[in-house]
Amino acid sequence: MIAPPLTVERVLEGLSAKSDFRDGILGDLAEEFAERAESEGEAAAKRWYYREAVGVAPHLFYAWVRSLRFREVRRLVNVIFGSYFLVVVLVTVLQAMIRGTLETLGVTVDYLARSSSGDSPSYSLALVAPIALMYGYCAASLDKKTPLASAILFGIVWALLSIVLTLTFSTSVPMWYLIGGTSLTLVGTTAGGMLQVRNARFSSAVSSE
Amino acid sequence: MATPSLGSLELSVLLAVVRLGDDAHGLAIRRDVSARTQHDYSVGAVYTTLQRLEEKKLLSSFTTEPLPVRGGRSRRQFTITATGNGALREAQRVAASVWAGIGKPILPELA
Repeated sequence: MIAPPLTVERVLEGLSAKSDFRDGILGDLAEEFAERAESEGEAAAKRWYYREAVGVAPHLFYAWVRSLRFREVRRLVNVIFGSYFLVVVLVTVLQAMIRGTLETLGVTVDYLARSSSGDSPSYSLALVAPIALMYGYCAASLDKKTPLASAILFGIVWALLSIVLTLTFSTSVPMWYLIGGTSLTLVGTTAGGMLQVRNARFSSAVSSE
Repeated sequence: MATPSLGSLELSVLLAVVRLGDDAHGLAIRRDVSARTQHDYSVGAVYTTLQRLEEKKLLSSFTTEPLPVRGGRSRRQFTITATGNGALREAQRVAASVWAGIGKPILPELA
């Protein structure tokens, strides 16, 4: 049997907890992929699989959100706080190391201080993408059951909090900053989650061929 | 108890389950519905509909043994329930009632 693209399959698995619904969908995709690969060739089958994966992803994520129960929500809150804490520690240490190194070399660097104080939206926006990537990666690493879904959820929670806090406490933030920051947050955390899922070996059902 | 109303995809899926009988699993249902409606429904759309019909108690399902052709995953077989049969009969009755009396003038246009 010709197996479907493993990375895409893992990404789809990471979007929803193991269930009859998820296995039914992924099984159907695998079965039809094998049939198409035989009749139309592997390249055409892969193109079909990518198209279907994009269409299926929101259904899997939505099914997972609908299936959430209190215990699961508590676990997710732990994942979100855990990854937040990890990244804050990591960024603080990195920031201190960079500053220390540059100051030792006699270079005056004030952009980190300015961006963290919020005086310069463009600088802080430039920092959002890598930090979001780290958050997504950490959230996915801490959640073995639904890594990508956790990373996306983290992005949504972070984006919503950023919008609310910015609109509440700052009157001078331009609209492009809000839109750009929110988009970068969502894209960054999702990409971080996908990166982790790509590397992880959490699936036991997928053939390793 | 009131019979649940059916959307057009729900109706097509439910009829496909009846038509396919023992072979009513996700992939076969999607192929049947897509062929008859001449619309290529995505796997996700059909599964979401199947899940909704199961929640409405119009369908029931069970999983088969894992199959190598599905990468070691099980198949999910669907069967119609008594409530599902009732909903189909009701849908047929409503459709017949709605179409009653308009056959002759528009049928040549449709042909």
